[in-house]
Amino acid sequence: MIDCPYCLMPQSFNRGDNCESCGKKVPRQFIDSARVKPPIYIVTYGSSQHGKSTLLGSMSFILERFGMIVQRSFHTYLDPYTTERVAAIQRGQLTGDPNLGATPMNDNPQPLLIALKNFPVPQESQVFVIFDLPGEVTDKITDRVMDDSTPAPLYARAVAKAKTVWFIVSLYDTQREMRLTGKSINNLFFSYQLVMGHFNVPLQDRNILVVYTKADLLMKEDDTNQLRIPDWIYEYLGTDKYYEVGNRGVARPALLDYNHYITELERVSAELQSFTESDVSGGSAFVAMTQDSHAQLYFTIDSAQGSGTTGVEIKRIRVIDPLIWSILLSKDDPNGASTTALILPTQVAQDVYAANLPNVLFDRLRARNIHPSTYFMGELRTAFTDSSIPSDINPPVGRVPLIGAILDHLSAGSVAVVLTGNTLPRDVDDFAYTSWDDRLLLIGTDKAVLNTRIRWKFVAQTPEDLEQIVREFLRQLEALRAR
Amino acid sequence: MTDYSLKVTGDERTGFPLVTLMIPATDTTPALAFQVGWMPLTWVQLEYFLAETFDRRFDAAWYQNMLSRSGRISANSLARFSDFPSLFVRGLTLQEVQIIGRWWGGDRFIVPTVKQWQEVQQVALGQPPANLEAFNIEPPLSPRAIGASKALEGLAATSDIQRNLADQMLLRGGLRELVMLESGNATVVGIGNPSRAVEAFNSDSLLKLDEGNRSRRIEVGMRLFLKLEKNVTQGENNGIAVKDLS
Repeated sequence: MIDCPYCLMPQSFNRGDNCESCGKKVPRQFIDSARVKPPIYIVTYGSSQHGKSTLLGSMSFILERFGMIVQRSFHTYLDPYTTERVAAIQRGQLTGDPNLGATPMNDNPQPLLIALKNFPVPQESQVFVIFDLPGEVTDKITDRVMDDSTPAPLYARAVAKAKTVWFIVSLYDTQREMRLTGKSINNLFFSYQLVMGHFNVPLQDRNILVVYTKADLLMKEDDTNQLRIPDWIYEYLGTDKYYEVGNRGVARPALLDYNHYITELERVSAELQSFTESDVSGGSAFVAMTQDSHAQLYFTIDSAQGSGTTGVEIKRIRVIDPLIWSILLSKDDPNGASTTALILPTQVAQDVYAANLPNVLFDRLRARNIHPSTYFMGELRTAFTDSSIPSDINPPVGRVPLIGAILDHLSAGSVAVVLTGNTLPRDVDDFAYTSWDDRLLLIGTDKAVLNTRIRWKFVAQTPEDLEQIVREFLRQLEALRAR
Repeated sequence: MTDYSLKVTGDERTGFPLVTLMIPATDTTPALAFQVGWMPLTWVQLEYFLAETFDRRFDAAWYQNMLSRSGRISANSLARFSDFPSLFVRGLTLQEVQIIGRWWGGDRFIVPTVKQWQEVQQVALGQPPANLEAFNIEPPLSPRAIGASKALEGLAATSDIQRNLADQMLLRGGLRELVMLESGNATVVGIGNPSRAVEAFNSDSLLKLDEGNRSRRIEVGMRLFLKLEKNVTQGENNGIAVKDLS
């Protein structure tokens, strides 16, 4: 089943391109893409004037020239509304007229449908369904979903639908609002939590991406701005190589190193979370509440217009970060249920660690939008506390090379990628000719790996070998899922 | 006439089947209530323990030593019934059995006495084989537990011998199993009527293990025995209601 992007009602689209529920014609490209891979739903959620549409506008400028920083990558607007709406937002940004870009309040907002081709790797595409919700939504949404006399508006259902919600927060404006109305960043979470509760959506299945906007205003020294911004934030913003990409006639910057970029994103997110807890009003409660709800919390920061307000001097700093986060967080599973496990060898496989194969493999998976949980063979707990991998890995000493307990604990449909040296997991043959046949990939540095009875087994000695193996395995996996 | 009750559940640690067995008191014996492993301890179950324990005694060298003595086979490779012993862990010492058992069941785990083990076997001998798939087992069995049960069942089904629950659970024709000679006595023996695949010249006599229990006997496996809480009743019976044979 595919959800109609306009009314979010699931259907097969077997009888044509028109939605059987709302009657709208759904772009064929959207339907074809959704049959293979679910689209990424994004909702911008934040108060008025915090920069939601401006961020999207700046993002669109960069997407339109994305091929400059990612080879062969390009975008497509999938319907006329998206084309017109993006053009209006862009005009608003170029002329400095905020009314041109502002989103009108509407019970049934129409999403932007954008395809991004060949990203993050060639032949991989993303389709985004972006609901740019007006600021008034955050004021009204709780009343509307609590009102049993009318059906919940589409914007509330969109909020519930999106796996990753963007909390758009201008820290500069939040400080002013705190003084005037007492509202803090927590109010966004309260209303979001209530909406999700109304639709019985467990928050543990959801990601909250806090997007701090208007970073340039935080440099102001005035009565409103009381925040002391750490130097590393300035450094992160100041080292964006792509802030001019959206402007015509600029020189071609270096190509985007996706793996390096997402490592930076993760670092910045962790640091922004600490900053939020220690410096932002209501921030520590916000982080604690979110963690208590089991939602996953991430942070990013940008400046969608730089210090400029009109025309060519606009600097769009770090505006693609939220988009990359949403791709990362969409992971490889449409339902959020199954996962990918990367199982690393015991300390005996020194050749594997000396060749840095675990990090290379982890990066190759992540470049394909797979965010694996990492384990060491013979140990049931995950190897690292978050979905990352350190550059210097210290596998536990004395563990038995086993994978069975780990595989048995993964949810149905999960994928396991097992990296080993010349010592095979003792129990690997337990999984031959089982439901793991298509989902278990064994990579060894010695041809002994080929003696196992499982289906997907390869010898790899170089990072290039890994690249090819991962590509081939994932291709068959995708084909299988499409069937 | 005395009623026994049997019920099958899934072991929460490893997803292998457990049989709940309640034997009411008689004039001469107190009531017994156990959960007993459907089969002796398999390699798969031991490996669950190894994946969670931080006890350095159970390291890769220890595992390799155990493996070299008795071999390990995957259930899906089991081609002949005579290979079945390699599904199971054999040669554990009493101390190792107690450590593994505590991980499993805490204070509920016991190393049974000869008498307790025989009581369980006696009940099972009087029962027809049970079809695990017919039960709605909770927690559900793990795929590897189902695989092991099916593999054993498939191979045993080719035999002409009239089978019963004891044969199915390998309480007869299986391994020897490590038990205590009697309560309060640390003497350890191997009990059972082992298969010829385990002992060429098998007998049903007790096999006395070395004093201090330092040697590892390839014939001797272990089975999970858990004491049940006192308030367990015969309700919720998805198993087999059976009659006293006496």
